[in-house]
Amino acid sequence: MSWRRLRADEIDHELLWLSVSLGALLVAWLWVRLGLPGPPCPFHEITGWACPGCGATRCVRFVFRGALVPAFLVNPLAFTAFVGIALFDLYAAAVLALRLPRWRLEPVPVRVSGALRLGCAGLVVGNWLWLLSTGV
Amino acid sequence: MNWYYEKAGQRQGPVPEAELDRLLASGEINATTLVWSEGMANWTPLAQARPTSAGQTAAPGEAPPPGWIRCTATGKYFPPSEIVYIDGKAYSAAAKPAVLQGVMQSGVVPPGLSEERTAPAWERREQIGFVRAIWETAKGALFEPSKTFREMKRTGGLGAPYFFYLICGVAGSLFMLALLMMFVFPMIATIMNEAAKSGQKVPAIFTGGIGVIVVIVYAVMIVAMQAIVPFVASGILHLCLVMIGAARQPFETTFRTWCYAHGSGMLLMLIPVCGWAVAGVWAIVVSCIGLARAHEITTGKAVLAVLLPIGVCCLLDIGLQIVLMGIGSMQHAPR
Repeated sequence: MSWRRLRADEIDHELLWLSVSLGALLVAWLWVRLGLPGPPCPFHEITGWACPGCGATRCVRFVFRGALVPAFLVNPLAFTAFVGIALFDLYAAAVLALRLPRWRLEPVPVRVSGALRLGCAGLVVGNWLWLLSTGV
Repeated sequence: MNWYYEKAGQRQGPVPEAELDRLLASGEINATTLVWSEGMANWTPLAQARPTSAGQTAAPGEAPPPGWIRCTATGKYFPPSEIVYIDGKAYSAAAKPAVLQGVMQSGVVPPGLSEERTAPAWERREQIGFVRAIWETAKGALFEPSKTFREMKRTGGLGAPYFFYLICGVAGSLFMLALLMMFVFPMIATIMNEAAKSGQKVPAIFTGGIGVIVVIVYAVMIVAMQAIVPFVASGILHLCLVMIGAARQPFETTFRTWCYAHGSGMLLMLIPVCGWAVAGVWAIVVSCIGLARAHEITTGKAVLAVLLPIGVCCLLDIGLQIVLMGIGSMQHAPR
């Protein structure tokens, strides 16, 4: 990891993903506000079981109501992802407003990246087992 | 030759020529940074003090300055002081991190990137015209995806492909909405009215049936979602590529491929009745081929990345079903 200034020909990922997440937040808020029905999950419709992403819409609805514990319980990984996005947005807003150097990931050795991939896969599977066990 | 440079109002240095190159490549200094070296009368912007190294490259089509070397990754020319050699190939200092990341992930030095690649028709719309540019880009992506994405520039910014997707996506989606208004919405309105009469809970927006406001709301939401979907979808796709160790190019390449593949696919939605189904399936097929050609990975890996989110569900489900069936059969086995 390193902190450095944005290069002239480099994509401004902070500006890009801050705009996307705020835009998505606005659309999600409008969707919930208008009482539009959530998209059905084809996997759940066919098998009757939760897919790894099931409960994410309910998680958003709980977050908008300020019910953080139910939001976490309904899909822990989705809730954690939302918290991660919120933290990234704070960081992006700060570096953009204060013109600070940007945080960039350095290449990691194959062994470390392999372990990270396994860790991510484990998180998805663990979260999915939680959803199945709680009947989300 | 040693250099002094200005940073945050403070004099820094002296640093040798190579260190100045490193600072330039890392973004710590740029073309406007004031520098000074022995023999110079005043502090001068780097671009003027050392015009051959301040991030300037030969313009396309122009002969490079004598002695400059072509970067294998970008196809642009750089002075020798900005060139590093990896596996015998010349790369610019700015391209080095991406090349090394590719090496660490795949164990292979990426081949030359932009040597034969050109901008798609959409990015030449000022020369060939707006409608023809859309038509040729979509035709190429839909009917000759392998050739189109093998020849497509992997860099060139996010703006043009995003604009292409937005036009095609909004056109296809609004056409679909018009069809829904004519054929499906009247049916939903009847169901909602019946449900409301029998005391069932109906979403607030549907109370009173489906009127002009509902259609306007849907149209606005469709446009808003089309504006966000390319970033979210290509972001997830790039994450999947990283997960399977197949992201040999930066996010920009994945984004460009996704936009041209799905934007072209969205135009198929303009075919009445079956267009939406064809568009959905063919856009996925074109995405797989496009990713394979743009990232220069195997088609299998591209398919794996595209289908990973769906595939994870299906494989885990099949595995779980087998385990449950096994447990069930053991419990009911004759003793």
